[in-house]
Formats: sequence, C-alpha cells, structure tokens
Amino acid sequence: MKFRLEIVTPERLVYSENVDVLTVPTVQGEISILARHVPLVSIITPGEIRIKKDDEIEYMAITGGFVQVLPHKVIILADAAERAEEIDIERAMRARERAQKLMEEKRGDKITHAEAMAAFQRALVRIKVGQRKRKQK
Amino acid sequence: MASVREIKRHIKSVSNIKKITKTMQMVAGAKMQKTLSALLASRPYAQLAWNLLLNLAPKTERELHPLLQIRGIRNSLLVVITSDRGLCGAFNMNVIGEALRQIKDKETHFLITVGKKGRDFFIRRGYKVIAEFTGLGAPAPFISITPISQIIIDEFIKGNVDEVKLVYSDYVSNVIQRPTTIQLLPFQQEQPEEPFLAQFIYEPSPSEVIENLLVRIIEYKIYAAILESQASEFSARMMAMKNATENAENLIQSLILSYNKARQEGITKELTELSTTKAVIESLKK
Repeated sequence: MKFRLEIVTPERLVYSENVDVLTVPTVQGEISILARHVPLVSIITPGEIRIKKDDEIEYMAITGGFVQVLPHKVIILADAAERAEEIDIERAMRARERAQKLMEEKRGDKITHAEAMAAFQRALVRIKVGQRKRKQK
Repeated sequence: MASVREIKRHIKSVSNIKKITKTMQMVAGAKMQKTLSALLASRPYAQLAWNLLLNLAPKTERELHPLLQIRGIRNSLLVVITSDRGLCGAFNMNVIGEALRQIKDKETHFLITVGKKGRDFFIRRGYKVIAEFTGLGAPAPFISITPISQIIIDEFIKGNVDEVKLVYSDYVSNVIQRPTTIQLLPFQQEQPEEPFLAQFIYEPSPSEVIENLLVRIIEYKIYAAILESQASEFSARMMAMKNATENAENLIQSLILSYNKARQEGITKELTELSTTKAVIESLKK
C-alpha cells in the first residue's frame, strides 16, 4: 500500500509522489513510515532520507526540518533537500574542507565553531548521499 | 548654434547611453521574473508550516516560549530591506521614508539593514545600526537568511528589544510597489481556521517542535520579505530604465533634427557664397 509523500523547502517543492516506505533521521533516531502510520510530528536531523517506491530506492540529503504524518499523506518541511543526482560531489568536498579548516582555526570562538561544525555535517551528508548515486550507476 | 561635428558626437554618446539603459531594462525584467517565480515556489512551504503551527498552538502555553512572549515595548528593532544598487527610481527612498515614519525615537529604535542603500543612509545619520547585510544575491538563497534571523532572535530572547518589525517594499504589480511594515516578533498568533482532524504525536514534545518551527517561520518571513523587495527593486529599475530609454530616444530625435538643420544651413551658406562670388566675378568681367 502506498501513501503520498511531499517534500517542500522554502525554495521549492522537491518531491511529490506516491511511495511505499519513507525512512527519515529524527531527533529520536531513524524512523521508517509506512502507509497508515499514526499521525505524528517530529523534528528531522541532518542526514539521509530513503524513499522506497516499488522496487526502487531513492536517496536524498536533508539538512533538517520537520516530518508531519497526516492520515493520507506525509509532508516533510525541509530546510534544504537535494536528490542524490542533484548533488555536486566536488562542491560538497570543497565545502567539507572549508568547514574543517574553519573548525580548526576558530576553536576558541564558540559560535563560529558551532556554525562550521554544522556546515561540516551538512557537507558529510551530501557527500554520503551523492556517492550512493555514483555506486548505483 | 553647435557645429555639425559636435552634434554628431552628441548623438553618438546619447545612443550609447540608450543601448545601456535598454540592456539594463531587459536584465532587470529577467531578474524580476526569476525572483517572482522563487517567491511563488516558496508559497507551499509557508502554507504547510503555518498549518502545522496553527495545529500546535492550542497545545502550548504562550508564556513558555521566549519567542511568543509579549512584553512592554521599550526598545524596537527594525529590519529595513533596501537594494544594493541604485538606478531604480524612488524605490529606496520610499522604503527609507516608511522606516523613518516608524522610528519615533532614535535612541530606542535599533536597526538592521539589508542592502547598501539603507545602510549608507542610516549610518550617515547616526542611527543605531546593529547589523548590516549586503550582497545576498538575486534571488536571495534561503541559506543567506539564517545569519539575519539568528541576530534578530538573539536580540529578542536576550530582551535587548521587545518587538521586531520588517520594513520592505511589497511587490503589488509591475507599476506598484508599496512600502510596508509588518510585525515579526512577538509572534502574532491567530486562531486555527479549520478544526483539527488528527491527534498528532509530537516527538520529542510539542514545545520543542514549536520552538523549532517558530524559528523556521521567522526565517521564512524574512526570506519572503527580501524576495518581495527584490522583485520590487527589479520592476522599479525596469520602469526607470524604460523611461531613460524613451528619454534618450526623444533626445536623439531632436538632436537629429538640429543636426539636419545645421547641415542644411551649411550647404545654404556655401551656395550663397558661391553664387555671390560668381555674380561678383561676372560683374567684374563686364
């Protein structure tokens, strides 16, 4: 049995299809959602979303947001989400290096350090998801 | 009367200016379209986030959330959104004028400026500008909003300011851009429009979800205001450049007229001289 999944960011509607299983990383751990899941709202942590549709699995990188499970559909309000094929791995790698350098330089500065850390995590997720697509090809 | 050569040079320089203004008009038009479609693409998110908030609202107490707290207003923060560049008619002055109407007292009103024009204006006049942002790009990416909202939320939670307002230019149509002020904080809470259907489980808890959601909605509001402002800026520039192109065209027409006049006068003068000389020579021969 399928359910409707919509992924929206402030910039665009990223995804809108009928799917079988959705797996998202939330603050309380990774959860998988199937059709007829109990209504739920949860906070998403940066990570990888897996969407199973028929026999295909699609991967997406997400930087955070909310998942809202309604009786007939699931809405993900993402800060930013990218499909695996959209990810520019070279750019993500450069972002990781930049963030790493910044983290080392700004060890004393709490706010900048935290920001660099967050940027680093985002870059890691994007690289991970991006590489998955490469392996499949 | 200017010489034929001078007029010719003048015509050339005016047509060069016309080319530039025409190009700027078209670039502004294209950018405006892009910004408008970004604005349109952001609407579903706003709608869904807002619905979620309305569902959550009855489950939490206003006093528990720092972002929902209503305090007596001593200090205000205005976020004034202008453009980085000029050549867009009265666009920036309209927004600045709106901001000045909001500022009753220089001492209790703090400012955050987005865009060079607003920054330059308020800093030169000694207003309390606590932060300024420029070069966001057009259309501004959502990620560029985070530092702005961070400062706003920090200042509000620390209690340095008791209300936050956004001053920007609302895009109504190509010809109308309306300077607007909206309240950002404390959050205006509205009653849910439709009765609530499902009973949600909130993880980790309703108040944590609302905390995160409020931050996103604030970011979204700033994002939308900046996009509105950019769309207004581009359409104002488009109009300004259209007028400039038309003026240049008129100027060229009148210059061509005086060029032809001057040329004809030259020819007439030469002819008169020739025929006079001829007449003189002939009279001498006799």
